Amino acid sequence: MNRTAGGTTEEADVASTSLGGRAAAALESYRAGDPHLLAELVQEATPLLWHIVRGQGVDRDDAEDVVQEVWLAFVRSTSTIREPQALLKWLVVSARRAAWRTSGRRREDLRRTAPLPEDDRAVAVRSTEPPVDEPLLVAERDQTLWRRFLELPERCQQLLRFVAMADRPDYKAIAEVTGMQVTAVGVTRGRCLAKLRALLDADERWVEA
Amino acid sequence: MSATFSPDEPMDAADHAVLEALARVLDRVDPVPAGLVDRSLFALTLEGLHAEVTELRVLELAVPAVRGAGDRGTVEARTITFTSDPITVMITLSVAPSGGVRIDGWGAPAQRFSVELYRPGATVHAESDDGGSFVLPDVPRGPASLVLRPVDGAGPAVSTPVIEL
Repeated sequence: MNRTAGGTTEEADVASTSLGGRAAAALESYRAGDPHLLAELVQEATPLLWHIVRGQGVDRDDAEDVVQEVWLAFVRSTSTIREPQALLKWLVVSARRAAWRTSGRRREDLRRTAPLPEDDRAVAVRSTEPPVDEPLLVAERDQTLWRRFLELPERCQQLLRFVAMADRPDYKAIAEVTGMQVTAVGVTRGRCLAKLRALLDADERWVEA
Repeated sequence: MSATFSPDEPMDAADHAVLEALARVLDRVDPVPAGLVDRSLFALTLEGLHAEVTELRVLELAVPAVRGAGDRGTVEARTITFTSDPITVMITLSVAPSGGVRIDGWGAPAQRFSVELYRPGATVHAESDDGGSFVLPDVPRGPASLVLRPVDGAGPAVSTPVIEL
């Protein structure tokens, strides 16, 4: 492939190993008529987008639509984003915005149907959302982690969902969209992870397992 | 009292282990739906086709009257006609022996068409005869879009809107 940037080895390395770098390559080759890299990217990054959207409280059915919308918007985006890292940020921000719009519409729908309390079927249909399936978590340690995670403030849950699902070399992009800190010594733990660690540390089922 | 963890310290191995475990747990309690990747790719494929082919519009949708109850031999079939000047495509959908969908199609004006059926996860190819008739004997149910390209290159390639087979 023809890379225009005469970047350092480190930059080239980031471009090929990071999700943001692969996203850039995928978009470039898609525009040139080859959808293969894009297909790989969709395969790889759909779980990340899924968890971002779900983290915003969008139900599973709507989340499927939102994820597809984001991918469509991605290939339609004609703006040339040079920085590979910016593409990952673009995907994440788009997923969040689309999720906000969707959950906003949902709330509006519920508000409109509120004057009909006797018709609680509509609400029942909405709540097909499967409850968190704890029995699926066979390991007690996993159950403990999940319960403690759910005790975190909503914003922390969203952030950690994203950080946990995202690709390591992309911490810079993650930091940009989440307010995490990247310093010379590395990525700092951040407030949310510190909280989760403290909760787990105080839980004997986690410590002793 | 348990230890406190400073938010400003660099992440350590235990932090990474917690995040890895969390990723695993998230995949268990809230798995990405099977087929979401395929459906996303299908949407992107259709988007790509859009730029390249003319989309047909539905002209007519005929669902035959339901026959008398108990007439189990009746095959449920529906016929859809699509058009975009100068090409008209008519398809009849019926149930294949396997439980899938059989598509009998016909493109006009009569000529040989290369036929592609796009659906999430796969693309099926067929070719029509000189009269424009083609058969896709057994296609899984679900959303799909047909693309017809004149083999001799005369005339535009056309696609149907997404239909639910």
